[in-house]
Amino acid sequence: MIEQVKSRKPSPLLFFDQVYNAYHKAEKLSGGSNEYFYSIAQFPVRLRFAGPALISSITPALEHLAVSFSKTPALTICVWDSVSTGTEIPSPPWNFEDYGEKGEVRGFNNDRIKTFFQLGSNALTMIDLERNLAIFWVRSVNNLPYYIQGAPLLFLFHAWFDRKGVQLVHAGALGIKSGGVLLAGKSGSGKSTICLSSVGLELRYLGDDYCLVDKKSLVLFSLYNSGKLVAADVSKFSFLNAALSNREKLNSEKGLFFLYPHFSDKLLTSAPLRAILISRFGSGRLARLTPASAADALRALAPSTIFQLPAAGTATLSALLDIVKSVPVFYLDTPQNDFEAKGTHRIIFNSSLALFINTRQHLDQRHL
Amino acid sequence: MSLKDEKYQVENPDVIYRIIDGETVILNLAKGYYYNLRKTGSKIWEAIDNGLSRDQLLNQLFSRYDVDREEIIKSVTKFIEELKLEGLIMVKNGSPSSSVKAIPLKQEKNDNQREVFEIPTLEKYTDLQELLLLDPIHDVDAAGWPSGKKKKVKIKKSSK
Repeated sequence: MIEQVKSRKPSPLLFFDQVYNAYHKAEKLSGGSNEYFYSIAQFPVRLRFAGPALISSITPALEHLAVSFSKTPALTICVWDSVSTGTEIPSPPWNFEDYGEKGEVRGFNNDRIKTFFQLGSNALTMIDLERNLAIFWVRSVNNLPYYIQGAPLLFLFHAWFDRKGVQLVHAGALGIKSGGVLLAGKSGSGKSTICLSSVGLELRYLGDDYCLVDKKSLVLFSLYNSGKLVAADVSKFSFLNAALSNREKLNSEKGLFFLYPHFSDKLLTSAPLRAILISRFGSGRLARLTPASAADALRALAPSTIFQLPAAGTATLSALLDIVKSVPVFYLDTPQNDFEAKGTHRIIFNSSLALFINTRQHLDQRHL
Repeated sequence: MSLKDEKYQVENPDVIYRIIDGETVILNLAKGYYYNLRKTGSKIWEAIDNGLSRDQLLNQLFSRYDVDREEIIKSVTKFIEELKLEGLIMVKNGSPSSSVKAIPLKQEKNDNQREVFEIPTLEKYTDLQELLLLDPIHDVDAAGWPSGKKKKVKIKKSSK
């Protein structure tokens, strides 16, 4: 008779509670929690910090969505680190081979509990979708790379908003009150340049890398007020100097901007989605819009969104398909060497794109 | 099962796809590759997904397209081999094709018009593979939590 070996692994829920207990201990040792409230895609979200160490790393990107207080937050996220709180986290009850390609921890994801480990930041993210309660842990604030500060709690937001009918999308977004566009495209295709170059002009900024789309109403929501530029381009955006957060680290990091509070009046928190633009470098001297297909938009949006988000798969692909089928799609060709961050071209481009959004024109070939 | 009766399946949980406006966008979640199929390639994918055997598929293509049969056989065989090599489809074991009601290929024009045969090609993109964690974890701290940095994977030159 073969003896059945019982697994010593706790259930995902039990391990969540063990980590949650450790958070409470950390909070107590730090003298209580620091609470911050936000309205994200119209949902009240509470961030609880055990001690102050992570506050300045996590909150700046969300600050434009801050609200004073919410009595009934729809989601609570407990944020903590072991070093500053002097509190150890329980050891992982899984093995090396349980880390999935996108950071999902095999065996610790089910309908209720999602568990992700992000290599690089070495951050553990767990969410209990039934209690609307999440945990974000890193060993030390020093482990938090600049790109996580630019897009904090990304995995959590994806997992939670997915249940709320709101899709997290890897794309930039620009707009005016009456409408906005998603700016999709490969890394290095000019998304951030186009989005950040709008600051100070007619178009307003919703994000350069990630944003949220309500799947039913097709309303576009800003998630982060941050933006990133390769170090070589930072000097071209001198009008954003006040928002640059890491000037002294540009030899090893991209330039990370927080547009709030310096450019708070240039930010837009939501707008109806009017079109999807696929950014790419063209050969012409002027920026140009040409019609593209929904398949082009799906190809531009889906792989980069799905490959970087754990637990994103066939349902996310369906959600993105519905979105790309619902609005017109265009290629936005911009000159590779000639797209200046300032000057006449920037102003003409910006107001033409604003006019395009405003009038919802369907043009075969539009020079911006 | 002979080659002509060979049927395929795409029920690999790592391979997800959607067909839209005559194109098929395919993602391999485990490898970080994505693919695009246009026109004929997309129709063949859909036919495979609908359970057509290789022989049924070829017969439908013969009747649909005004082109030399050998050319269709050659290009479709090459295309199917490519799909297999990429791990997007696999040969299905099971009942012979005769027991399956074939779902006809999608047609763009009416029955009296022959369509233009476009050699099916698989467009493969590998530029996003670096988003995935493909290297095993080696470095852990005293408590057992990974403490290393994410290594960038070598990116093969994309076909597109």
